Amino acid sequence: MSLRLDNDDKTSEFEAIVLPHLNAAYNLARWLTRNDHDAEDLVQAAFMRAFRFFDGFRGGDVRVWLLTIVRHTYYTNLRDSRHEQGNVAFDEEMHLDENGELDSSNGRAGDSPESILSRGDTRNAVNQALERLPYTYREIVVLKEMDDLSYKEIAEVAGIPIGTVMSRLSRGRKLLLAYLKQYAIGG
Amino acid sequence: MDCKESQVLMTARLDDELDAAAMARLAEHLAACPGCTEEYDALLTLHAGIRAHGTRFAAPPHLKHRIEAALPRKSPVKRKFSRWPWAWINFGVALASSAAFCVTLGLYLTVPSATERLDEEIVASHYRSLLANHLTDVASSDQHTVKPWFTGKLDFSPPAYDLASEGFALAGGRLDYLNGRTVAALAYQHRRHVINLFVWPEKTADSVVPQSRSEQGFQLLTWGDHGLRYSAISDAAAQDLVEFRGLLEARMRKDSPPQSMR
Repeated sequence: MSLRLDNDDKTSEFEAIVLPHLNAAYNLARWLTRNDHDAEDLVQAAFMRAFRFFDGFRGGDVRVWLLTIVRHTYYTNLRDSRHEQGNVAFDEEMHLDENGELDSSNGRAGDSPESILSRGDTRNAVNQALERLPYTYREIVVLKEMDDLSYKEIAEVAGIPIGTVMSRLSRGRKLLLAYLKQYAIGG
Repeated sequence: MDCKESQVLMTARLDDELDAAAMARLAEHLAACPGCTEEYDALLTLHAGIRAHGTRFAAPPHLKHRIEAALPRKSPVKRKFSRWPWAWINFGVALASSAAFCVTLGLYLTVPSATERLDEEIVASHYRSLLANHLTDVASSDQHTVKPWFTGKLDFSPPAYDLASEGFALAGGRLDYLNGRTVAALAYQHRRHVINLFVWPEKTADSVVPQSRSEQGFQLLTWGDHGLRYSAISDAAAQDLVEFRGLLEARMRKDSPPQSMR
């Protein structure tokens, strides 16, 4: 670990090590906030926080460290002030989806996610389903499928046990399948 | 293995987080359970579908600039000057400052103090009086000639005593110019040495500490008494001046009280 003599050195080191993971940070922020403006504010706040704590960063995966900060910043800074209403809406959705999921267990072959995913509007279907997913599951699915983090790394980012990571993924995917099925029926 | 356990393992299987033994047990269950097989296939499709079609949002270019601009820097013009050898520049500036300080200090110490300037004037005056053979304006060993001579020429009355009996013969008096004013100069002869005694009034005279100095080979003795400053200078020994002062003060003490009584 090199000695960080002053802010200039720290800034250039930070830019060289952390800034390259801007896209990963933004993607998670965007999926958490679900709009560009809040995602930008969140990423900006997260990078400022990351810079403050950069002295405490002792090697390891920078991306995991940065994503942890993005997520933490979201839950401490932004969620309370801006997304209270959004979360309530999600809870309602979640109840709806419980029913949807129950229905899907007896679904017919024509409505299967396979058939939906093979259609032309797959991109729309997948992204809408992800957006509908309650953030508790959404963040875990995004970290897994888009950032390709291991269960151990996701557990680190989200601050939960590996077993919880596994169960949330399992549950999240079931919900996604149910949404896709609804999308097929609705569309 | 039942279907409930199978469902948990399926997700872990998708993510390559299952060990070999669990994988084998799951495969065994899937082979025997069409319901779980169907769900596993659906999960596989979903897994691939999200990876292929889930939007990976890229940060807009201005966000990077925004963050870079918010990070602390030594100065906003850092990029322009960052290649300058600041360590050497700082060192140079420090060196120049030190040098300037030393020169200033040197000049300050070289400038003579008021006392030194006065001493130089006294030496110059003494030397001039000997050189130009202008030791006295009024040449007399008689104090009663010398003392009145000053009256009207000075705003004070300098003591003029002939100490010939003690070895310091009064040679005369003259006016001189010292320290920005006209002063009385009394010339004495001590053996083969000339002593110039300069006298002038000064407010702080009584607080002047008698001081003996050597300047350009001459001995100087200064003291203050009753509002008058005395400065004796000679090429005689320092001890002679001290003796001269002692005799002079003794004579003044002997003289003053009866005068004031009169």
